[in-house]
Amino acid sequence: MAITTEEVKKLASLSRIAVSDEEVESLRGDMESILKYIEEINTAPLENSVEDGLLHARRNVFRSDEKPNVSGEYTEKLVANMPDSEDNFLKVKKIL
Amino acid sequence: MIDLTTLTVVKANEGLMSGSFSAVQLATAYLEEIKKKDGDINAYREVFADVLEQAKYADEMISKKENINPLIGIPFSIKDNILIDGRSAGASSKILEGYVAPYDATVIAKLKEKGVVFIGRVNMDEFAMGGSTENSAYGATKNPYDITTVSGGSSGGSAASIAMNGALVSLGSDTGGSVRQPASFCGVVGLKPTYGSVSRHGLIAMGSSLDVIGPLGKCVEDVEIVFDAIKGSDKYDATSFVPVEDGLLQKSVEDRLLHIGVPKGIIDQGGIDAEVKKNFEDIIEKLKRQGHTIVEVELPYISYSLAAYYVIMPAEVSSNMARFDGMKYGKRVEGKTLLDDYIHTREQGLGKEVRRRIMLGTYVLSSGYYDAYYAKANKVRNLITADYMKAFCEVDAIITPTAPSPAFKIGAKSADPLSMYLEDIFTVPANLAGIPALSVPSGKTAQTDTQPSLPLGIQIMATHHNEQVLFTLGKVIETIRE
Repeated sequence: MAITTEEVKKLASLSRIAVSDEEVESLRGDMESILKYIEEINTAPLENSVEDGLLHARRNVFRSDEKPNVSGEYTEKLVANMPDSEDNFLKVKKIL
Repeated sequence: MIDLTTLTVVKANEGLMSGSFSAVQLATAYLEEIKKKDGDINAYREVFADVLEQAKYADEMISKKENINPLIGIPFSIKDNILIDGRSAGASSKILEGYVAPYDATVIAKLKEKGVVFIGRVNMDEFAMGGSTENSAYGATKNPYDITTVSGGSSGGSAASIAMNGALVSLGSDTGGSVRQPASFCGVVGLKPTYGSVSRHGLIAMGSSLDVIGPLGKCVEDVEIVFDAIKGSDKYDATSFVPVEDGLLQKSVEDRLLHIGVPKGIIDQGGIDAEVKKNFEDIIEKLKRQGHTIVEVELPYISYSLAAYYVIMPAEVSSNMARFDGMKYGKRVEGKTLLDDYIHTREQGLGKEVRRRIMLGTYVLSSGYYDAYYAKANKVRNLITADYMKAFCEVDAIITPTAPSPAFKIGAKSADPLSMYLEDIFTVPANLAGIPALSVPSGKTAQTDTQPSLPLGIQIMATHHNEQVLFTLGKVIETIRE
């Protein structure tokens, strides 16, 4: 699976990661070899594929919409973790 | 003097109960070993300042005969991706610098109830992505058997901390082999429990359909005791389940000879170290001599495991890692705009392997590729699970080597991500199928002039909820290995 430097840049942008020009090339090489390896799944015969859910015994888990945390219980700790805050609000750069 | 080398949870508990040593003395003995050895090994990211206070508290309970249980006063190391309220947690990543956990992971809350002593948090591959701890932003953890080799990963700090007598037991996490492979490399026991048997609440997520917290220790019994303490359903983890009642889904294997499966062709597949192969064959012979039945099992889809894993895992990684954007916690790199903040925080805060996996996951989930990769990988995953379910109708357990080689040299695989991924070849299938698996030390490599002897491990797998089979067979292997 060939992957171009343009595609790597596009993926980086979708992933919200800045990449330097030097790194694009090494990432491209790495991704190409990894994608070549995972291509193998395209050779797996899938006609016997089983319905999802049967095997993992997956089930829905319901929770009643009550007893949330006490308001403010974690506020102090969460705000203390914020890189920038003001009056218990998270502070970020202007968006619009 | 407490002999830490031969100490187990049961022996430590006997010592504490009989008063031959106190929890403070026990913790002090571990702290001294850490002081002596961790400069070379680098297992610990942080040794907690209040270890002796925690131990003193355990001693008070013991003297008052309160909360007497097998884990009271037992020294634990905790992987750096499991939250302890009020303490730093970093997943060995720069992006979480300064982060202080606002709550206890469920496993930690359970251990606190038992009165254990947390010695510190231990090193790992950044966000658990890697097989050697070389992806830690804080340097690799070296193997206590040979500091020129890796400790394995991603829970390398957990395994090394036990092997160097820096903790008696540890908690790690296993997404594709991250408890079992370092356990194998460092000569300790490591359990990847059934998916959902241990709550993931408070574990920094990597691949949410694969992740499970698991214990490491010196012997199978230690790991069993810790597993019993941390398992159980949890309202904060919807995938956690109530432990099944004995006799419902569990196979009874006590006091009888076992039927053990070996996947067809596994020993002869390429890329397996000769000593690993020989050791595995030796163990099989010894099990046969004990009267256990060894049969070949067919797992036709297992050869696709690694490819399916390296689609599903990065896909989940790319989603889980989206929360690390420099806004809410951890490191923030300031740019001109909000978008600049995001992309530069992630560029500088995340290591290369993490960034690679996020991008890989973004690729396999992107429109046009979703069906070719992600949808197909999930079908393969179901087929692999079906292979195991079928095999476990015939056998109690399936065994393989834990890793294709003993611990490798530091730097040997770090330049080639794919060669590092191939390390997971034997461990990944259990995560895809959600079944429990245990790595038990099975012997050591021969010592040469240039290479000290290194530990080898054998992996035992059983069907969902059947950790008991792993413990039973694991204890057998402990008695027959050399």
